[in-house]
This record gives sequence, structure tokens and C-alpha cells, in this order.
Amino acid sequence: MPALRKAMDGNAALVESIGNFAAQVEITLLNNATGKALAFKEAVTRKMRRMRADLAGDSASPLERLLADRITLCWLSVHDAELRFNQSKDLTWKQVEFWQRRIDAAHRRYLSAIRTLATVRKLALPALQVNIARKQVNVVSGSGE
Amino acid sequence: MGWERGRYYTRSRKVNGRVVREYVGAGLGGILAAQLDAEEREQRAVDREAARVAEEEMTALDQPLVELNALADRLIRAALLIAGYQQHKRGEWRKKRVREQQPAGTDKQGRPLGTGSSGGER
Repeated sequence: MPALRKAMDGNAALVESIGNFAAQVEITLLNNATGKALAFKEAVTRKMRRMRADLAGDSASPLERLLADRITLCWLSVHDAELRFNQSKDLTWKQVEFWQRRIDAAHRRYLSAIRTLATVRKLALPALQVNIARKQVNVVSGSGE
Repeated sequence: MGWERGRYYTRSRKVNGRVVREYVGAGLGGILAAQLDAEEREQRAVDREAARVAEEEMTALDQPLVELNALADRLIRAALLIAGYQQHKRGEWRKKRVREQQPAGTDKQGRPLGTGSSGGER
């Protein structure tokens, strides 16, 4: 744990470096998904930007921003895989299996990313603890309501 | 598929799980059928290779995202552990229970040792 603590002292720098990696991944995925269709590329970029902003919100921590990035990238990956599969013609059973496996994997990653953000949000929420007689009631303050 | 005794061309195919060899022809008809089959085989091999390359490209394309996910997972895990959470049976993250430290020279109730009737209660 002390070693972990020490490693995480540079948390912001670590998140920053992973964020840079995420930016590189985004460029690769985007170029591959849109090819030379510039209008499509611009539309997808804007959609991803909006999605990221919606997911992260205004007062997101660096970790939440990173997770919002991750969800956006996973979303792009799922849709790219589905689009490519739908556009493929004359596939053999083996190829169909490959594409289904790829779509399933991308979908699993997408759901896992969403679940992680939800977990981080849930655990970071400030909780108000009220004790009524012997029963303990936890009232979690909702954000933005 | 092949030339039976070098005289006539035959094709093999599966019918209900059994290999059935059918006679195609001898002479020019056999030669033409053999050439068509060879071209078809070649085309299938080319298609298979193209599909294999495409699959490899797709897998390579997914790799950075898989790495990013693994990195982010590790980071989040570390952050949660530091914040005092532990994962319960690979599922839910729960706050770790911290046992209060018992001051030296006192019993579990906080009384100085040797003064009370510890262990006498029934």
C-alpha cells in the first residue's frame, strides 16, 4: 500500500499521461472508422465531444474525465465494428463469427467502461448518515437535482 | 478433385457427411473443368488470405483500446484501494471496516486492565 500511495502521489500526471494515450487512440480509431470522409469525420468528432462533455459534466475530477474519454472511445469502437459488419458482403460463417466476437468484445468493453464511471461516481458521492433509533439510514445527496 | 488414372477428371464433394466422387469428363471437357476448378481454388485462397489480413488488422486496431482500458482499470482500482475501498468477491466495492485501536493497558471496554471483573459476566 505505501508503494501504491507513492505511485499515486503523481496521480494527476498519471491521469494526464493516460489521457494523452487516450487522445492517440482516438485519432487512430477515428481515422480508421471514417477514412477520407471528412464530413463524416467531423460529425463523429463533434458527437464524441458532446458525449464526453455530457458524461463528464462540469465539475468532473481527472479520473471521471478519463473514464468519460474511455466510454466515448468504446462507443466509437462498438459502432465502427457494427458498421463494418453491416457493410461486409458475402461473408463466410467463419468471418461472421469473427465479426460477432469482435462486436461482443467491443460491447463488453463499452458496458464495463460505463459501469466503472458509475462506480466511481457512486463511491465519491458525499453521504449523509442519519441514525433513527437503532436503524441506520443513509441518505445520499444527489447531484444536480 | 483430380485426374483418375490420368484419363478422366473427377470431382469430390461431401453428401450427408460422406465423400462422393463424381465423374466430370475426359479429354477437352475434363481439361476445361480442371482449369475452372483450379481458378476457383485460387480465388478462394486469395479471399481467405484477404479475410485473414483484415481480421489481423481489426484485432491490431482494437489493441490500443484494450490497453487503454486495462490501464484505466488499474488506475481506478488503485484509487479505490487508496480511498479505503475493497472489492467484494470481484463485484461490488465496499468501504473497508477499520477496527478501532485498543489503547495499551485497557480491556475491550476501555477499562484499565486488572481493575474490573473481566470474564466474570455470564
